[in-house]
Amino acid sequence: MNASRRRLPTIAICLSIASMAIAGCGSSTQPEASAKSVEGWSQAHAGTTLNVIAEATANSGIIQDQLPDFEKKTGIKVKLEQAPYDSLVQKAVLDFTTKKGAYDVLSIPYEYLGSFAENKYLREMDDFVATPPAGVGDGYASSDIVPGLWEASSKWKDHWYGAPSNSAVMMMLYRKDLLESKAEQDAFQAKYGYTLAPAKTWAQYRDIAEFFTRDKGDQVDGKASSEPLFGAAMAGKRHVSTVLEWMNYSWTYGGDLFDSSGKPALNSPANVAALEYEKELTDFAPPGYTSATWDEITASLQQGSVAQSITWGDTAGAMEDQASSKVKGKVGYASIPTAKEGDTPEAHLGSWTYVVSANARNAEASELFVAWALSKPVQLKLAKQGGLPALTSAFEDATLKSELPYWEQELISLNEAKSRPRIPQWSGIADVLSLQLSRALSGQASPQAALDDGQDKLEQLMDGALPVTYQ
Amino acid sequence: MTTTQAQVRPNPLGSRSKSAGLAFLLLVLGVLYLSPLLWMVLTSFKNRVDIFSSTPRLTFAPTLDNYREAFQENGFTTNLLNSGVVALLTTGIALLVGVPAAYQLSRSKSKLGGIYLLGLLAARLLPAMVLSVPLFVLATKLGLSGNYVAVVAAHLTFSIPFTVWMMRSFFLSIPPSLDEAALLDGCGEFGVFFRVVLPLTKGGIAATTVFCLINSWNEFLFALVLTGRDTATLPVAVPTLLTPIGTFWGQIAAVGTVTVLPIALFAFLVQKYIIAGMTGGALSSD
Amino acid sequence: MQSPAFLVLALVVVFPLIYSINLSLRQFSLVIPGRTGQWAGLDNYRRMLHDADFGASLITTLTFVVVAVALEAVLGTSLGILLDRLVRLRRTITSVLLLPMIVTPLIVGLMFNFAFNAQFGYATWALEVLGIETDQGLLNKGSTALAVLIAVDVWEWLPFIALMVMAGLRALPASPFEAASLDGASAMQTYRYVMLPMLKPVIGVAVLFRATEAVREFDKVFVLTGGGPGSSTTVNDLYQYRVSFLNWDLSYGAALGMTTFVAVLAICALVYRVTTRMDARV
Repeated sequence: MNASRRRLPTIAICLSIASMAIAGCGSSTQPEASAKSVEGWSQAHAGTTLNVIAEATANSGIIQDQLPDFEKKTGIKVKLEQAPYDSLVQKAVLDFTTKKGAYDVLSIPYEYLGSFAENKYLREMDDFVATPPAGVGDGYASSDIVPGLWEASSKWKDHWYGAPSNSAVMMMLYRKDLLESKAEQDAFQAKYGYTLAPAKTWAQYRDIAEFFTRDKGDQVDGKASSEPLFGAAMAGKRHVSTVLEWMNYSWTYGGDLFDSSGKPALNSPANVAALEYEKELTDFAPPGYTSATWDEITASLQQGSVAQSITWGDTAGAMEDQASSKVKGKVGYASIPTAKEGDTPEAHLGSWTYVVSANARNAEASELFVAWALSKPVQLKLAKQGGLPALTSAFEDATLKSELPYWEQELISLNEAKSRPRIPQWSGIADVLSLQLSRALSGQASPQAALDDGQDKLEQLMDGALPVTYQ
Repeated sequence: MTTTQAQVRPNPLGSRSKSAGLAFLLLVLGVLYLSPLLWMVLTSFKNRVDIFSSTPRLTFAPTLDNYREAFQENGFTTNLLNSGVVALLTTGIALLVGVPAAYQLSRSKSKLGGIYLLGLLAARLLPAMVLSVPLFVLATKLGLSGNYVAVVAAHLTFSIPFTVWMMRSFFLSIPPSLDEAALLDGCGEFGVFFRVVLPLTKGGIAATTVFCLINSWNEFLFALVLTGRDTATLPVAVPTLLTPIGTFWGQIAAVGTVTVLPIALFAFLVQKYIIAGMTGGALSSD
Repeated sequence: MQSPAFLVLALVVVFPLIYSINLSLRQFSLVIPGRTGQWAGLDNYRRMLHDADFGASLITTLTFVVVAVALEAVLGTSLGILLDRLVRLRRTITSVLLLPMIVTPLIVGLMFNFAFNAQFGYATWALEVLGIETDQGLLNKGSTALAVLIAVDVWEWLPFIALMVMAGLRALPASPFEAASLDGASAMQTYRYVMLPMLKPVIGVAVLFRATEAVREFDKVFVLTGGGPGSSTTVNDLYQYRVSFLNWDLSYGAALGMTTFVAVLAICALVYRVTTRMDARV
């Protein structure tokens, strides 16, 4: 097993937890006698403006709405910019390179941590992790942040660089109403010889996908359908979302990008089998899967045009949103299926982390923002309004558990989560993989040929950086 | 150049009476041809359900929600302003430096001038990546990132060559004897240029302006790389509506409509200058 | 009076050019630590020789340019000659024809997304009603995706050639046509032997202009297919964009850019030579 493979719950981070225990009570003390404070939050930086950038997701939208609370507590104004994944990464890299500090705080996808940390683009936040900085007021307790999540998203080698801004993790979303329909269950039993239930294995997932692929006008749950129904929404575009989805199949089939000695192993039998399986699934995908990303998956699910999908947990809020979703209350949430019954589930971690730019114009104010964003009132609002928090207490909150159908699954999946490599070469790896997977899924190359090509490219790309011993 | 000569050429459409019927047919074909554009405008007034319908809907209850959300809530008004500022700055600078250069080139027969003109054409062929990375670094080094300088500079790489070539062909159509006469009358070189030559090429300048404005307004790749949060133009901002929590097709259509509307109106008003500009280079030189 | 223009251009064109040449001879990445601009000689150019993706992008670009511009030239010229007769409707026709070519190309891409979207596109629906099975939608098969992109480009730029031809026809002298009709030439003969040769310079300029623009195609591909499925629609500019701004390999991106520039320049010079020589012979 790879040294850097992390299973989130199993790793105890002694140092940080120990320090948090101390910090937990220290955080509410008054920092400076001179500065005024509101609920313990220092006003020392009142009048400062922070520029923050985050991905355009539910979380960012909810944080945006709460900014007046931060301004009330600290007097700091925040300009929050929301951008899609690609453009966010571009803006971040360009801003880091120019050393202009156009952004003080950035919510970055954790796979860029290695690159950004090693290029010294980020402010080291060991002190922030050890002891909440002066001026942090009520509601923030670092001990409450899910430890494994925090480490995977924010720690690179020996140092810490941030705190989790989004605890997204991949899971299986399925149409509970269809799977529980008596008519459908009987028909499924007759056709496949076993009981229709949320898929536990990939074979079941495939059968369910096939079973629910229906034409317009066919009977669905005893009624003639007005729109066609498809078995599984998937991402097949030449885009990072396709890579991230495939890695779930790869891992559960026993594959990975690098072998145990740290060498590229893209065309391993397990990876090829996983891609062959995914290719087979495309028979049951909505039209246009080869130009679909996570965006289209969300849309298909919300429209009620698919029966199931492997997708991101942070879209659960969008499923349960009255205004935009046709399937509110009809979606079930479960762990990613495995190759064989009884295998340990693997889930792809997709967390984001707030980092402070090395060139931030006001680093202390930036850290105050990070602490505020992770403080309990803010995080509870995130949870209630369809976003994802990073606090254990929020995931364990009894009211939330009973109100939100996806709540328990989020923590389960987080505990099953595994990280993708966070090495500096990630952007190159993602580009190689997105091309080859897209070729295979659109039928331009066989899975074996595509992954063979990818293996060559990967070896070139990693030239001089092998073996990969820490990712 | 008279319409009478047209009668001499064979008429593929036959007699005039037939052409009335054909005019109607052409109208239908014209609407069909513009249907992608019309469909986008229609879509901008639809709600989510109508947009996603797998059977296209021509009748629906129109809503202004998409416009309200995009321009009031999502800040596309800023992008609209940015687009305007970038287009105006680019066009202003391109005319300011390009028109005099074009005039001089039209009056010189030196080899150097010829090389310079070909160089300008070649500049137009430079791949965007060759220009944008250095411009980005340059703007940063000079402390100019985060404002319009870099993107305007990039837009100048195509609008100056365009202005020079275009205006040169208009200046060429003015006989040099005219400026010589004015010189003899005691006008200085500048006087000749401003008082005699420029007024004669008003149409050409209008055409050049229109093209520079449209090209800068429409440009995407440079703007994508060289604008930041506060300077993003409309084309750059539109793709941000494709997000993991949904693709906002309605807002995309609304912003698309607003992006297209000004130039469509503009083009309608100054149509003759656009045609003059398009054909100016091809028909008036040589 | 040339000097301001020269100065500005030196700043925005010559400087970047020199910078890019220099960059292309180095190792420079914004994400991989340690690649901070070390001298690499011709490594980046050598790497290109073995880069199958680059080769594929060149072929895609070439296909796109040749097919799209040829269609635009043939259809545009025919349309221009047809429409030239409609004297009274000229202004309206011109307005209609102007629209596609002045509309923001990125928005053109998005407009056709509404049309060809596999799930709710009206063109997808229309094809289905006509009984044409699009299966996954035309944008989602390598072969048809490129065809759609070419069709969109033709939609956008066919009017340009048509308008150029219309304007060219108006500028033609009447005497050759009079002579032809006196000689009893048929309509077809008049087109073939009188009109087309006289239109040639106009069409030539239009085609050259279109070709140099089409080589740089980016916007529509970016929003319509993103270069996919697979690499089937990855045109050269998009490939360079991926290298420079998704992989952050700026030095290799610069080398690709310089090579493309030299190649395009050479082809243009050649085309220019050939067309001027042909003109001289006519």
